[in-house]
Amino acid sequence: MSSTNPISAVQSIVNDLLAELHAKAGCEKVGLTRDSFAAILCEIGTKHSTSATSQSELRTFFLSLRVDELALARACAAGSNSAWEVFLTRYREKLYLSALRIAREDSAARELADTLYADLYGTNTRDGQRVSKLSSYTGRGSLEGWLRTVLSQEYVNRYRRTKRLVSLDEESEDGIQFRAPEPEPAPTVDSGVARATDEALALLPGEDRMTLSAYYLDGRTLAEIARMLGVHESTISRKIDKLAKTLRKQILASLVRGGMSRRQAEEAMEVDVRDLQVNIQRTLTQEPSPPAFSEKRVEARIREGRS
Amino acid sequence: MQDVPKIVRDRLLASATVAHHPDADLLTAFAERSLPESERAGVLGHLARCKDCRDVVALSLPPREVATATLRPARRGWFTWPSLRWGFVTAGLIAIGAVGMLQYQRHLSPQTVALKEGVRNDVAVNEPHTPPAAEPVSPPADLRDKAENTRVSASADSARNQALALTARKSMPPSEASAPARVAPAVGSTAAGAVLGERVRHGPNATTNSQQQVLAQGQQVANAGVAGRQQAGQFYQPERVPSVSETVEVEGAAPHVSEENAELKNLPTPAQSDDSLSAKVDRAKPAMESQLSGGAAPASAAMQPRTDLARAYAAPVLPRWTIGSSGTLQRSFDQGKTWQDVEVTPDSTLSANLMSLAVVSKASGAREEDKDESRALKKQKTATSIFRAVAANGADVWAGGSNGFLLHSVDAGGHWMRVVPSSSSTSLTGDILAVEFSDLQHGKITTSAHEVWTTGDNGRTWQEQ
Repeated sequence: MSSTNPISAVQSIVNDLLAELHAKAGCEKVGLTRDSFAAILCEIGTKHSTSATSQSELRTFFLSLRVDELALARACAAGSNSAWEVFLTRYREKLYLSALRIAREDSAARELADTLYADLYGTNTRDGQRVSKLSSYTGRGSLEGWLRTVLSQEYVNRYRRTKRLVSLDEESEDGIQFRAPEPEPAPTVDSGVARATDEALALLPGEDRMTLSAYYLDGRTLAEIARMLGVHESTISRKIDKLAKTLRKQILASLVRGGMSRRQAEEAMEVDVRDLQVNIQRTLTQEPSPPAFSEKRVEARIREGRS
Repeated sequence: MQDVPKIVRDRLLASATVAHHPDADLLTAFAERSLPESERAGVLGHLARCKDCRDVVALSLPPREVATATLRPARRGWFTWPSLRWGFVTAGLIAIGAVGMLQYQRHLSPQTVALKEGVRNDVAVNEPHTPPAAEPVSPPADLRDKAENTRVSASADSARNQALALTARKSMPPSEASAPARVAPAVGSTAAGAVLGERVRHGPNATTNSQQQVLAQGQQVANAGVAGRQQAGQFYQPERVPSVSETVEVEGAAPHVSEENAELKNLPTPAQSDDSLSAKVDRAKPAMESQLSGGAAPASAAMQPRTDLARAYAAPVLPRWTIGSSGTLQRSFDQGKTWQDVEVTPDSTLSANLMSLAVVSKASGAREEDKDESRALKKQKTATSIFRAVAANGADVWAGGSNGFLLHSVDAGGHWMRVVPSSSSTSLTGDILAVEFSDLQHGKITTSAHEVWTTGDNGRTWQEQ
């Protein structure tokens, strides 16, 4: 886009597409006026576009929006009763089912769904105006998917908050209350190895890193990762295997370039300091093995014989 | 699946940062794969570092049944390995089945070829038989006496027997089989046939033991030995040697046999030795060969046996018989849907010559009598034959008509023999009005002269009631 004001560019494109998008959205059914709809489109366009966004990209962006669901959501956010009737008819049951699938427990699901429903309706007010979460919907994805995402975010936030909280009663029962936990010694990692690893990871595209993170850090299955990325499970399996080989090769090459021998580099990659410490400790505390029973008897007989 | 080095996990964890999280819209669009590539890369970069957002994306995915439908692989075309695999298997099975069928057919065909070869050999050996000689030389007395009781088949019967003998000859020592083979009859041949007929006649001094053995074997094999024509393949009815009465072999479209008359006269008498007889047969051979070569295709001696044999082994279809409105003999091979006239014209018969031969076989030595009877038979021959009755038992067919014209076929009309029932000094002369054969052996003929002739041996002998 040229140096012209992006807002004006957005506005001009909205003006061009307003008729088409307005008819497509069915604004009359949900009680949304043409001007209100135009304002909504401008807001969304402005939020999305940058100075580098071309008009064709903007045009494509507006045309890809789900304007019918956008109009419904914004009409609900504005308090349109007719819109709310439509929204409840379509999404109330789906909202609850999504919450149940996320929370996996009925009471938690109902609580989650009711909380979100209140946020969607706009029980909160700001500056005298009802604040509805639906006003943040921009139509880039489906409204149903957006509702699932919002539920998931709410659930994750709740879980995070719950995890940080510690029960004092449980602590006292376990006897932990009176003993300060000793911090684990921070493992000392070879800086060279870390650097080489960071360099190798930085070369990977985001999808590969996301796959590795989801698999090795989150412990997700290949099927779950495949669903997230929209590919087949076998694709993820082959990708992880290939990434493992590639990373090993690249880190090894980087370490060798840094002056390490190949064997040193391999050892540096595989050895975990924490594992190494545990191994040493185990070795130091290990008792010598007692002699075998038959050997004892032989020794006794020899002594008897001598005696 | 190879595992990444432990250091990689550590560095991934270390790189996790709490950065600006994408809004729900963006994550939704990412989960639904509706983001442009540039924005998708950015979201992926964040997801690689942010566990919370990864959890949100995982939780916000649509239900599995919907996701499974979207993740289903694209419809495979026909030319993919799974489809081609089964295609190869199917093609292999079809090929194996086709090879098996070909092998099975090939296994069946050599048998037919072998039989054809056997027939061909028989035909080659079957020299075109010359009719038994209508010679003025009177047969020996003992033979004449024997002829009183039995009527020897002038050509066809004896020819047939010769053919059968030749068929059996292959399994016999050459010495024993030589004599019959030399006088192998052919189509239209009467001399040799008559002589042989004498030889095969039932009675003392008729044949040697070896010849009887050969003939017995021949009779068991086939009954279709029309003179010169290989009838070995016509295995319709074994042991159906035509009657001892005067019979002549009648071809449906037999060639002109006028040349035979002179040859017939020169043929040896039954008393002659085998060598002389064979010489006579050899002499007659060219005539018969010319006769045969000029004949119509159906009368071809060489071809028809093979055709008949092939027809016999391929599919012996027995026709139906009837008499047409004009008195013609007709047959149908398709259950009466269509009818074909059976061409059996008097001109094509050899009745004159053969009848004269039959006269020779009768217990009469008078040449004048022979001539008279020959003339009578000629009259019968030249008279137009109108059929009035037909009777069939499978492939065994009897057809009778005017002037005592009686024909017998053992191969469903492929070849015909004229039969003249006679007993003692009388013979059937009137118009045949009815022909009845309850089975192959027992038959009755009724004529316009209120004559009733019966046979109990498939026409070998007749008795007037």
